[in-house]
Amino acid sequence: MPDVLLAGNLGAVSLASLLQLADSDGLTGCLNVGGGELDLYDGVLVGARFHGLDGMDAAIEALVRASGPFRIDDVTRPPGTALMATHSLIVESFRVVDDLHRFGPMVLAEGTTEALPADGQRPVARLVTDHGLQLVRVLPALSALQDAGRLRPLAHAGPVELEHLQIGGAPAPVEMPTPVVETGPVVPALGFDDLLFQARRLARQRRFDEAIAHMNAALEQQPGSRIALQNLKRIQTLQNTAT
Amino acid sequence: MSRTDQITKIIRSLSNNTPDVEGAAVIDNDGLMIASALSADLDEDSVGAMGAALLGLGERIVSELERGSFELVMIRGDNGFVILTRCGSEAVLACLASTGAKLGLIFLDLKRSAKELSSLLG
Repeated sequence: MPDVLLAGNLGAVSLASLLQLADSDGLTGCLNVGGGELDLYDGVLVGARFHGLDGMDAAIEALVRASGPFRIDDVTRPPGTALMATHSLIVESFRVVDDLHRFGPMVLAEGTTEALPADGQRPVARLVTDHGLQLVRVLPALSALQDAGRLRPLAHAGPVELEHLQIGGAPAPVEMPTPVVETGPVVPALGFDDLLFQARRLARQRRFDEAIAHMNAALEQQPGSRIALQNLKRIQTLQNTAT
Repeated sequence: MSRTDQITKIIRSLSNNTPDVEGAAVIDNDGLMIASALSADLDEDSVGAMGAALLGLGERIVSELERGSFELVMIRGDNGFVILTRCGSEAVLACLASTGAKLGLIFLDLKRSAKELSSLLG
């Protein structure tokens, strides 16, 4: 049995905080959480397996859904390529959480898609729970379905309704990693154009996480902007090159 | 009108009013697109990345060979020209021109546009 480096419960410390701790302290080991495993090498996430997913998708799914006890074993995995910078991974998990808030209480029209066995009654979050679906796979497809008018709000649905929906059969209600919000880059309330120029300025200063957060905020204002999408992709490339 | 709109207006004007200019874009030193008046079939990711690479190389060459500050780089291919010129300390104006283009006229218009862009970009 490998030595245990750290153990606890995600009810007391979020997975995002744990990954940031591992990153800052350069931890190497295997983080066991929610039936999944995240491989850390020198603080960087180099592998992940969670809910039948591998790699970055598994890490993001774990960040959003993992709950209960965790344990970091003193296991040395072969050094590999970082899946993604820890901060970027956390920002990506925000997107999934945002989508979950947005689509979770909505109802998908019956027979819309084979991947989501919709019955026209159960909300999306309940479908995910009942069928053991993976959020990172399901949620991105829902945006197009909403545009096509195949999603409607659940009657009486609200934030409270979502809190009571169990995700993935987890015993606890959906966990939103609110502590992460406090540690993420702060984006001021600016217009689209100012956000773009500010993001580029931050990228020049190699403050990539803040630049990406600004660019994401710009894209929330104008989701189809080709310039903003090119800039975001380029900043991520620069960040990956830098790391 | 936003700053991006003003920049886009200048490069559209360059594309529309200068004979043989097929497209133009303003790119920052890292390859991030600031504004684009390129044809839809051109990949803006590639234009940004190549613009940054070309700028980096150009700046290094003028520095190593003691040719002063970088001003302009031009590449000629079978089907035309790619010209990159400075517009402020943080950006370059990239211009695509067709083969047989009147370069004197293009350089003149590029210089004028770059000056306007430079004042907008700071």
